[in-house]
Amino acid sequence: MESTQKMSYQITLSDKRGAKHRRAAARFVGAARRRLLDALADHPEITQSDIARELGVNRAVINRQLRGTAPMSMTRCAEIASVLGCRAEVSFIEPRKMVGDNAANAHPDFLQDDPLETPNSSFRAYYTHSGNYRIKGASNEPAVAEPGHGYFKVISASLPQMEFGL
Amino acid sequence: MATLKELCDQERLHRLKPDLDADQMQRRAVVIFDHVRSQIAALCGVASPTGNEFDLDEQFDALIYSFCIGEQFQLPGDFHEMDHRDPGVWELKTADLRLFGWFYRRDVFIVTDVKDATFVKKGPENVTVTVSLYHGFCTSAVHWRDQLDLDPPKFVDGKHPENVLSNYVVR
Repeated sequence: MESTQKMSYQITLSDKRGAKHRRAAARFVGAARRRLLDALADHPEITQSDIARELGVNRAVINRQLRGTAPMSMTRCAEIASVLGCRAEVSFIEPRKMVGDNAANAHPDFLQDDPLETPNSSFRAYYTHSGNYRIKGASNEPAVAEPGHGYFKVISASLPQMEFGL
Repeated sequence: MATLKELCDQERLHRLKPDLDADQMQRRAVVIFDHVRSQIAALCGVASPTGNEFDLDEQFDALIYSFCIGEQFQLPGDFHEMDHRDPGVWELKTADLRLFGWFYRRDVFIVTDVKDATFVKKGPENVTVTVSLYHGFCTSAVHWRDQLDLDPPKFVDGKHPENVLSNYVVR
């Protein structure tokens, strides 16, 4: 509880053992449900009743699992995918240690007067109307940057050419 | 009048920054009122009343995470506009949570209340009559919005989801 009060403002919802991993699981299952609903929407000819009939369960069970009011096992996830004619796959991603190209897509409007802090770094990245991405490093000196291979490569003349790794 | 950033600097509002990996970037933003902090704290360790496999705080984190990384949101499953006399009140939702508020700009959501969905739909447990509190929470959102000394326009008007959110799909 105490840690929640100190949010300034990385969210710390719970410090109890395993909480971080539980949150990772909730994020994963939430994404899996969305992908299942996407797949279902791609097959409008197949209803939840059809899925339930194929799997030999009540339609309400499938409905609750898709809505998130009942647990969704990996088995059920794959079963539903199969009924939809899809193959479910799982990837295990090891996060890159450096700021990636994703940073280049940061939302522009919110950033105009409020630079978005690059996660886990001391650098701030924000989008400019000219289509460049500006970053400020520890020196607080602005530099024009372009996405590099997994990190930003600074191309400004105001700084010696350098690469920011984390 | 103040900008959103100034209000955050004054700690009247707080911007949520979910734990992201180094190769992830926020594409959307969630900002909460100061009083919402205690509402979030109250979610910790509360089991789902409907049978979802995750506690309420875990659902909250997953919702904020998926919103902030710009995941495709589903209308009305993940968000929708509230049917209320005042415009611009929206709800983000999970199986068991309802987040009321408004969009300050596209992809920037300001939260005024975070509540258990069962409570919102039926009212307090110790009251025998079922009372929907949706209207009350919408009114509360408008109240907080009116009180906030935020530079105009304070909210995105219009009912079309395109106005408030990028990357969504209607189901």
